[in-house]
Amino acid sequence: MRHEKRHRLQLYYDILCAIEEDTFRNGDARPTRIQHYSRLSYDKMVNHFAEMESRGMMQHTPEGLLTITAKGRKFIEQYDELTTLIESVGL
Amino acid sequence: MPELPNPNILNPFVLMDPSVAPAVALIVMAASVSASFLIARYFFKSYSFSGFGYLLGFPAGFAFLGLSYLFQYASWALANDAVMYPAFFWMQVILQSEGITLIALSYHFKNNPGDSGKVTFRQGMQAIARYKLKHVLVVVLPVLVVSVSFIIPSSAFVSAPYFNYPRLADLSFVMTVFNIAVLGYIFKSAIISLVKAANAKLLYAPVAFALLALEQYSLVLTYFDNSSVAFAGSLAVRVAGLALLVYAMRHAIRMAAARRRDLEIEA
Repeated sequence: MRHEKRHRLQLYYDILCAIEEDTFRNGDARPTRIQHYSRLSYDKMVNHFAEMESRGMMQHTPEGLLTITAKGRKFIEQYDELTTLIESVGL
Repeated sequence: MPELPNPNILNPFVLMDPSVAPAVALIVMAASVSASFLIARYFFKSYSFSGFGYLLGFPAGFAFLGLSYLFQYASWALANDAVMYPAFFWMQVILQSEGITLIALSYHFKNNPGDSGKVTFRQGMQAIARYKLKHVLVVVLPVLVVSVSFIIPSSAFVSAPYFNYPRLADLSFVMTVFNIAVLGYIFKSAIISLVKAANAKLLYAPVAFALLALEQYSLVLTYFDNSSVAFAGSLAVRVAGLALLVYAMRHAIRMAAARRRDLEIEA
């Protein structure tokens, strides 16, 4: 099956949603499970984690778990709104 | 012998009953301008958030449309000024066509994003070199529309200090036909995209663009028979089309918020 290349914003969105989902299901979010949900290679995922942390969207806890920040939640809301809006006019 | 209608009416508001025309012109202008700028604002926010180049045509196009409605009102308000009346009318016609063209470009580049969603001059030249007629037209047409808007008045100003009414009336007719063709393309692109995305329930946008095309068709009728009824119809469908687009956007935003709330409740 052919997978379309994902845009960076969509990658961020997928990772943040995966963290939310994993936290909801298991009480915490572990990088290995996020890798599984977001369908990324480990190296790429670690790079994206670093970028997202530097942008203040997520953070690592001292135990190596992942949490979303308020900025990350805001990003998910905005991305949701953006995709729904542009889909509503067929763009 | 019945009096023949003036074939060179520029702004059809002058055809309306003078007792109602000021109120109708003001209400329609206010509704059209605010709806157009609201759409432009929403999509500009989306563009600045995402940085997707192809999205820029949509807000820019609606901003141009909003300006064109302002100029339409201004040209009618200055209908007794021999210079400002045709000058503002020309601005209205050109801005409207450019606005619709920019919206169409958003749809075109969404379907053919290339590498980054932006089309460079080099890519345009490469398309010409490959004789891809469709791409050539898409690259060349907006340039032509923009250049015509500058060439015609410049030459008119050089040859005569006043605008040539019959030529302007003919130009507006040609541009109206052009608008209908471009809106047809937008309608087709929007409907195909929504059906492909299994989003056929949200057909508001194609219907809105169909209404804007109907507005242009009514203007063609007005051009031929100077009918104030056809012009009033064009105003009504324009406002309905823009209102429908605003409704579609607000509906989409409400849906996104509701989905988010549901997820939060689940969590």
